[in-house]
Amino acid sequence: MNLEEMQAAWQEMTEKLDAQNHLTNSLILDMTHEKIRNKISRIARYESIGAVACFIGATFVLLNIAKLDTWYLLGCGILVALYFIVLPLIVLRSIGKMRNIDLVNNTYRESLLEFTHRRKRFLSFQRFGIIANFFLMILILPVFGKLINGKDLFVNQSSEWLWFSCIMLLVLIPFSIWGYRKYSRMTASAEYLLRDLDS
Amino acid sequence: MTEKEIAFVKVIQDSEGIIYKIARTYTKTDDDRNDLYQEIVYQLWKSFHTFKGNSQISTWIYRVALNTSISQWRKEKKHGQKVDLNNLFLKQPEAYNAELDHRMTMVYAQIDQLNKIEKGIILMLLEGKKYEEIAEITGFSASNVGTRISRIKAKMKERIEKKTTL
Repeated sequence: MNLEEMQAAWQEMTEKLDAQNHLTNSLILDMTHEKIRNKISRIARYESIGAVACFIGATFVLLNIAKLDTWYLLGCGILVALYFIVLPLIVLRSIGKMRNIDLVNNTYRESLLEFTHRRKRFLSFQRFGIIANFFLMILILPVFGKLINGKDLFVNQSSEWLWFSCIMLLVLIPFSIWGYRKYSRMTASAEYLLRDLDS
Repeated sequence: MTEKEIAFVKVIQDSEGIIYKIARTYTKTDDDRNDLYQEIVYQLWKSFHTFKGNSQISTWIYRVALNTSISQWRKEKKHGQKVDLNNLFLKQPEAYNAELDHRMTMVYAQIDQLNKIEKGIILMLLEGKKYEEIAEITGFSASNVGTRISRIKAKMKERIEKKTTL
């Protein structure tokens, strides 16, 4: 189908649409009510659940920080708590920014630029998070080992924890590769759109 | 109804076709289309007071509707009432035309191949807008709009040729 044929079909559809007046006053007014918009984006919902889990983790570490009785365990504990607090906040903030685009004053090009830039930033944080998870795992094991079992894994390396680490890695590695690739593809598509907008 | 509501209802009733076409261009399923349609109407209502009549009302509608369409991602209804718009447009028995439906499926199949920038431009071109009007709404220069339209045409032609050689 070429452009002329598309235009002819479009024109016909427009005429049919213009001949129909389906929206009643009450239907339109219903659409203006906030209750209909009581929706939350799926991404924001998953990230919010993740953030709550992270905050619970951070609270647990901070409440028991006195149990981390060596400088290296204390250091790991502080880093874990910081990670659990800072990263979800950054991700939630970047989601919030994507949703706050000036729909009235922006032109289509400006909105696309803003939205795509923000989306790219959000995707970059997600990719960073995937890599950071491996470092978090290295830090989290001795901290939780000490807080839950009272064992210093730097001193007493037990086989249980070794197995636990291996299983975690087996789960984490394929998931991370899949996630990283997915986010990389999405970032590349956002970059392509930005280049196209500048051309 | 208040005066503002009466004026708004009139604007939407005059433009319901435009909103439908924009919502249709940026979505693939009926459910997403309904959501986007309602989101556009809601955003128009929210910004209705900002329309001062300096530009044409259609320019304002296009701008808000297009900006809403590109800044949406898949949303999921949590709770709350949803206005049922299913099969409201073109699927009505008195307006349904199988041949046009088939042609429009082909039109949207072509549009779906385009990126977001091109979708906005082709939509307005199909709406019969001049390059200057497209430029005003999109923020691209008129000459850039022309270049982009040529590129879209070339892309479509290439796709048709590819299809026929297969």
